[in-house]
Amino acid sequence: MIRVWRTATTLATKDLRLLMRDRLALFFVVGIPILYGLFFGAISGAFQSGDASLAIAIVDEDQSPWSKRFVEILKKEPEKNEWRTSMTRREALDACRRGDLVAAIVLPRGFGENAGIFFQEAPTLLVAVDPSRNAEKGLVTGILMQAMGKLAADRLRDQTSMKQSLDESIRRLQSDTSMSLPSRLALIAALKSFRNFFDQLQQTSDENQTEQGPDFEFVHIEQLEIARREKTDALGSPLSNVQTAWDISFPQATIWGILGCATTFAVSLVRERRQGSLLRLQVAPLRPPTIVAGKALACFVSVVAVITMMLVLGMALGMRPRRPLLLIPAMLATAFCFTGIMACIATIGKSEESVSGAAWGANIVMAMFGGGMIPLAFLPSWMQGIGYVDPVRWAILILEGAIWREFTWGEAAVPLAVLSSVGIVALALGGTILRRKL
Amino acid sequence: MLTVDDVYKSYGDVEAVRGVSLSLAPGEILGLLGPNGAGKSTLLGMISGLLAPDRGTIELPGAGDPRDPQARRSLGLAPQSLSLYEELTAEENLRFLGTLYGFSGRQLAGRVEYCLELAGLEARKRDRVTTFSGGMKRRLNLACALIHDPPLLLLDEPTVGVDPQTRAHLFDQIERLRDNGKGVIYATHYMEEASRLCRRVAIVDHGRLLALDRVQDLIERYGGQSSVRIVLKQQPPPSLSLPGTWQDGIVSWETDTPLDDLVRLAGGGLEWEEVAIRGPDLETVFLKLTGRSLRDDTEQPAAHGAGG
Ligand SMILES: Nc1ncnc2c1ncn2[C@@H]1O[C@H](COP(=O)(O)OP(=O)(O)OP(=O)(O)O)[C@@H](O)[C@H]1O
Ligand SMILES: [Mg+2]
Repeated sequence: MIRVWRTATTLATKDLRLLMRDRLALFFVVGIPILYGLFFGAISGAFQSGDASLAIAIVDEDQSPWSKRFVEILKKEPEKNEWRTSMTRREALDACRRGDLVAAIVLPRGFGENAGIFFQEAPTLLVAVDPSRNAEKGLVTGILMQAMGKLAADRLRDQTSMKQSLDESIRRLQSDTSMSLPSRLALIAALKSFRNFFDQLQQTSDENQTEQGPDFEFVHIEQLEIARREKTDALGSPLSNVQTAWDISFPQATIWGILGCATTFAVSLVRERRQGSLLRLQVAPLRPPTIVAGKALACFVSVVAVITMMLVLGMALGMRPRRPLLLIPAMLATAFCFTGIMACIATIGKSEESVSGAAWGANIVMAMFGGGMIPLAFLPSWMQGIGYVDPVRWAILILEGAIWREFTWGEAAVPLAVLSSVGIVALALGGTILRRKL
Repeated sequence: MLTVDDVYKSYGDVEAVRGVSLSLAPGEILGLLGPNGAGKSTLLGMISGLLAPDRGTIELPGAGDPRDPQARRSLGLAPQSLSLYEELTAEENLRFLGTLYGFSGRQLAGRVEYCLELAGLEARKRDRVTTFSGGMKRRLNLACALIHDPPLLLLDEPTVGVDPQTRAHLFDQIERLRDNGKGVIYATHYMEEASRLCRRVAIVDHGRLLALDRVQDLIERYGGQSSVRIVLKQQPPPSLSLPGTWQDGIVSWETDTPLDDLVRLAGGGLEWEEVAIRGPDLETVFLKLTGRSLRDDTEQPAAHGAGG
């Protein structure tokens, strides 16, 4: 066993040395992810969501007639959106943090009092957006504004109907003889002053609608932190878990380095065959599994190295992983998973060209459906569904979990288990085929 | 030390090796002589454990079946095609292989040093193999087979593309190894190499072992007569009976007694500018055994520059 380990280390060291000397491979493994990370970090938020359906939770803590009305209006907003209304604030924020929801909207107590009434202090809405989907933040705000406008119109219509009923009441009182005159007059006066109040209200709001006064606010949207730690100030400061754009772009970018590693080592196995060096390994006192193990070890080590490098670079740019300990199993599981994938890819073709072609084809598909190219949220939901069987998705998720999603060990268990299982299955499958081929 | 007993190997319909048996003693260089496609590399592939024979057995020196990884420690293969890590330096290639065989520290350094010296690459040891000439790569390819100091060496055409001086250097090295008790199988289609290096030669064609014996015995048995060729200075005297055909001032014939013939012709008053006697050699042996000339398939590299 020790000898196998030693031999595998020797083989892997040789492979890593070769990698360091292969400028093109090095570019794929190191250059591309850095470029990708910096590029998407720099332009983050520049995306516009297309047809995407957004999963959003609404938490009505007010439970007043107007807050309920607001929820109804929201639900009729772009119907393709998926509205969840049965969550508590904590649940909604957790779901958002885990990436299950794009946003959570909280209607705090007291929201219904002023909502939709002009010239009152604007009601507060609390909104949390999954930081990796910052691009959709504007979209969510837009939806809220639109709904708020409709609510205001409803309330206005409500005032008009009240005015009509007031007029009607005044007319009836004036002709009603069953009531004593003094009490009739007092009542009419009261109703009329009410009526005037509404008139005034309407007048000012009409002005406002045309002028759009600068200090007018439909609704006051406060960003809600989705951090796990409880705040004494429940309304939350606008501090988000995501500290820099690199928090989002680096896990994604790391994936490209990982895919580069898997491809490089898959190709290197075919290259050894082509250049004949495999012959030397086969004549040496090694068993075929040891040769496969050597490749696997080299791939594993280089994936860990790429992730480390990206973390260091990200941290130099201000990224601060919130679950540093989780990074360790995240790295190991991810490296293990993609080592297995490397072994499978290596079995695909006989020439370097066919293997690297097939590998990059597979990489692009995996990256596409796993959110390595475009954030998952921009994909139609059926494509997002495919992502669940895509190791890239789970790798990004667990890296994000450690960097800013603040996964608990329980939450981390699923992605870690998925990655490890894929690794075991792929390594067993690829390893068996390779061993036979050797 | 090595015994090969009646081994067969086919690739689909192609029967590459058909019932070859041979054995090798320590301190012996056995030539494996045959044209392209004769099955030399296939046979060496089986001896080195790369290929499993369809039939027959192979026993390595003191170790057994070459399919057993540990048994393969006793052999070193210099493959016909270059098998090197081009992006590693000569030294790194050797160090890597040495480590695989379990060497380390000073022992490893010693082996690497020895192999570099053998290949004449000490001065270039820190250069990557990509920067080497064909001949240098060929030398390193051979040296890599020796890194673990195996008792059995399988050399598959180790001198392809090597210049005459280097070839001579390599021959010296191989002879030195033989003198140290190594057993060597030397596959080639250059008879000159086989007759220079090998005590015994196995002649293979179409996967069959046609003959296996000492070079001298093969020539005696299959070599036949010497051929003599003289370029005349003038018309031969009419009284003299010529032993062969006379055309354009050249007389050539085959004989068992070339010197006696020449003495007789000189006594008869024949004068010549040039005389060439070619004794029977492996080439003629091969011709006799297969009905074909080795040179039909491949040219001697030495012939390229000299123009024949
Ligand atoms: N991998 C292979 N697949 C199919 N046929 C093969 C394979 N390797 C060799 N052969 C065939 O087996 C026969 C013997 O080939 P081999 O390489 O052993 O000859 P050789 O004596 O080494 O020739 P050369 O002097 O050209 O190296 C040839 O007919 C060749 O075409
Ligand atoms: Mg050959």
